[in-house]
Amino acid sequence: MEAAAAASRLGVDVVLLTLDPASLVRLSCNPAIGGIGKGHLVREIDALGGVMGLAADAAGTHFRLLNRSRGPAVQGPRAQQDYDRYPGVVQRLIESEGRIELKAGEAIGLRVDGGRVVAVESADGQVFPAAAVVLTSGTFLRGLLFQGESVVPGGRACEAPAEALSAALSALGLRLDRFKTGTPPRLIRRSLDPSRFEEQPGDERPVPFSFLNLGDAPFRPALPQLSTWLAYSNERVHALVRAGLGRSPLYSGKIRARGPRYCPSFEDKVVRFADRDRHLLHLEPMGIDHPWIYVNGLSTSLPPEIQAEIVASIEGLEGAEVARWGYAVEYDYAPPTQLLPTLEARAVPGLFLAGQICGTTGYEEAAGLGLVAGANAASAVLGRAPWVPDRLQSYLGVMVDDLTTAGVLEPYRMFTSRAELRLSLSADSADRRLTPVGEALGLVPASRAARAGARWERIERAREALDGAFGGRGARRELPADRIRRGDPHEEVFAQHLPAELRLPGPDAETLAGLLRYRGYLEREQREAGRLADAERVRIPGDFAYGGLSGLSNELRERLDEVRPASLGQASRIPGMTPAALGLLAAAIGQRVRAPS
Amino acid sequence: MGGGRRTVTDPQTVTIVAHATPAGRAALALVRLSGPDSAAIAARIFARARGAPLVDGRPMLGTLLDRGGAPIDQAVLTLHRAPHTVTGEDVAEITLHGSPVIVRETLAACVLAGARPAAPGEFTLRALRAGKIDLAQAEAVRDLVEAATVEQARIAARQLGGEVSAAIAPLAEGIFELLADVEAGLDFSDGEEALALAGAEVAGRAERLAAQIDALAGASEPARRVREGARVVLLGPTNSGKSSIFNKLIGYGRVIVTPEPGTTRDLIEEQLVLEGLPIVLVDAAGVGEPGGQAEAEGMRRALAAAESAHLVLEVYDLSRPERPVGPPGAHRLRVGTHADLPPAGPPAQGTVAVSPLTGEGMTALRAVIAEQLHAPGARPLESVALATERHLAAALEARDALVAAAGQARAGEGAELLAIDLRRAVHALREILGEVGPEALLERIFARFCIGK
Repeated sequence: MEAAAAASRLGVDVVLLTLDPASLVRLSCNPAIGGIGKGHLVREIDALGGVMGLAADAAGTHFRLLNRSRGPAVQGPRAQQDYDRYPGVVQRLIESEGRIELKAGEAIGLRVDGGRVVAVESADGQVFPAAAVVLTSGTFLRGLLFQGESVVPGGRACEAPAEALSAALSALGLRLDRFKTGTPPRLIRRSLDPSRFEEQPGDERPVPFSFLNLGDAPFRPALPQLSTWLAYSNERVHALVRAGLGRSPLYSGKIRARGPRYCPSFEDKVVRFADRDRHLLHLEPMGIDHPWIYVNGLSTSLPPEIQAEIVASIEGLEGAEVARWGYAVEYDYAPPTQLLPTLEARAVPGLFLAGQICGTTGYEEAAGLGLVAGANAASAVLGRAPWVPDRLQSYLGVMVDDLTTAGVLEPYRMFTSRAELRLSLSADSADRRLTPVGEALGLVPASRAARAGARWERIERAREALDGAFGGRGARRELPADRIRRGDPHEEVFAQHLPAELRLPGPDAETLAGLLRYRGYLEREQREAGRLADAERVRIPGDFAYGGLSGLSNELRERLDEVRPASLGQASRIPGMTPAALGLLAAAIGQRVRAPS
Repeated sequence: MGGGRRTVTDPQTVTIVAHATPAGRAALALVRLSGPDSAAIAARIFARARGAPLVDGRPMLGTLLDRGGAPIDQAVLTLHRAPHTVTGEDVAEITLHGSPVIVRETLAACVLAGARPAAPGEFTLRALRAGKIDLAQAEAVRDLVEAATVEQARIAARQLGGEVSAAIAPLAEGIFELLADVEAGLDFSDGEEALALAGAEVAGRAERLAAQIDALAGASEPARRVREGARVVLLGPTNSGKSSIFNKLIGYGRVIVTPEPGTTRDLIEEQLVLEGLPIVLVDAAGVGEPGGQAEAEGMRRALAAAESAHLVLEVYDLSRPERPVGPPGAHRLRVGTHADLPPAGPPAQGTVAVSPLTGEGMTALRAVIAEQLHAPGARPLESVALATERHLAAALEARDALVAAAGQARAGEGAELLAIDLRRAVHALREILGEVGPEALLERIFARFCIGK
């Protein structure tokens, strides 16, 4: 969806071909968007003119800023979504773009002419000519749904998989592999009694995703707000899981594909953390008037009869009715080291991949990749220069570089620990980092860029005023920055030290407080950035022959050959890279540059 | 790296050859092949008695053949099969007689049979690449080859045996675990349990790790001195006889000795080995009333040299009345010269009396210097882990980063700020062994925690 939006924003006509237009942008797993790392991505998408932030603000039913007690760099906005309303909001936002045509059909092949993609073929015989194609197949490619002993082809519950496309991709030279993921059972909302659980309301002052909603006036969610509830598993539940392991496709050997560790199945939790006598579960309503509850933390592919026993054994859920059973899904993805950092497949010029087909997990990762792929696909059509987000400037850059350089061993999810410059990439600075980039690319209208520019000018002026007033010598008073670092409320500090005309609206004041809190560290990170950028500046020629480099292991040589790093810095992030091998590479590049043979 | 001189070919398919013993005439020489064709190449240039087939893992006596297939030497061949060899590849070792002509002919025969002459360090590089040794061990190989003293060679051998990694790895591990704990608290605060560590616990763990690095650095100090050498400076009044002691210690008349004061003006350095410890002995201008600008500059240099020395020999003349006063300082040793002349009074406290002229007391002086510098002959080397300057510098950077992180944790700073210093500490130690990427960190986090959300 972000891919279509970004491409149409750049002025390209887009056909959005999907199996079932009615199920477009369905939140097929957790009805929530954002989180630590993920919320950062949503802010970046928003800063680049994407739709996810605005949509999640409009359809949010429970907003929480995670890590609120910690520093601004690791705070991530998150919001429960209304399952029924979110897709409609997204589609309305997209319709306003005007250049996107929605078509129903199953893509089964790509036509290639002269080494480039020229069209997409659908199962019903239609041919859609296209100068560039973005493929976002999610979990649908040769998808298999597992539930106990039952294995059914499917992309999601009650949705057919895409069977034919995988063979077509393989024939074009794309290597495919399998990943798995899973989802928990849904419960009938009115069959449980909320008073049996600890209630978790949303934040009193909800923090929105979109910078457009971070204005002078406090953000007010459009929808009525809902609570979630906490529940716990227990030893009885764990015993049921252990006894049923032989019937779990994960443990009986039916599923061999790797799944994400950080979103583990409940079976995995019980086996790997055998000493734990309980696990936390979140009961999350799927919408304002949706009849179901999503049981976050109980992802399982055990047979329904065991799932039923498990639910009935959880305190408070004794009488709960299950609306849909949990299941695991196994699907094809294309190991992303086959992609250029523009997300274009090396083997198939004109074909761009985004989302789970790149080996990621999560709506936010998918949306971010969609935006990068869509913008680059449109740029390719228009003959413009490609865009590679910088890993020193954004989580988008970290993600694209991680995927295309290091590849994935399990579905990739964003974490703040993946970034070298975590403090500089705080969610509230995404507009400063990326909105000018978005404007230059044509993704962000000038008015919006001006708005972001004005916000940062305000912040900068206020910062200078604070520095000027209190940097003077002889002043025994504490610097505002020191007071903020010590934990004084910034409202108080600013009210005391800023002249009225420089007072900042709430969100801007928060941002400035963060900058003051990290003063010194941010400069340190920027020095580190300079050091890292040095390694990025040592370019490796695109046609460099790794086969001719003596002293590398075959494994490393193959990886280098596949990834074809653009710089020494990128090469250093390839897994298995050793200082010795890097030295060899540096020496060889130096030699080639010196000796013009 | 010598990459330029290498033939451009795939090392996995290429077998390299080199003689492993020094060039020149010797009783025996060793020629070594490494690579997939080692056995095949050896079979082309080596024939067992009575045409017996070649076998693996056992020394075989036979005849070495030249390029034309004519016998040139009696030799012993041993074939080792991958992966359990020094380079992780098939290896053939040929022990032959140590004539340069025969060695050269054997190498030529190997090349004709398909081997490529190895580049300097290429065997080690292949071992490194095959994961047989780590970076610290590869460095030790170089040190071992270049060792000037037996003790230096012993240290290099111990480093090669993996002592560096064995000592550093658990430290790096400990820091990495601490970092993983801190990071888990940041990225999974919404998980099913409070993962965040208390500041005092982080500080305590960081300080313990810093103390361990300090202890390791201290325990490695004697070995480091053996490796890097110790500086010993002769300091004393003009014309007190420093240069005579210098000449006597190094064993020949390196420095001009005259009865005139102020003969030595520049710093003069010579190397010697005392009980396995390499020493740079420095003779300097005498200190006192300078007779001119050149002498004044000489004195300034003498004092500067003494400042940075591992040991200062305070030299004075026993036959003259002046005596150093007070107890001797740390890293200072008093040496009274002219012990053959009538003394002008009792010697100062802690003096070693010597006469370079008669040789009296010189053996004792050598022993005391060795003892003071903890020469390996005088005391066994406790650790060799941080004996190399590069390793020490990296370890101390890690130590400083840990101390900084501990300070921040105690001050209640955010975990995202501690993480910066902990990352620096991990990075510094991993530089000794190899690199680490963020994937490895996540790997660690997931191995330890049950994270559900």
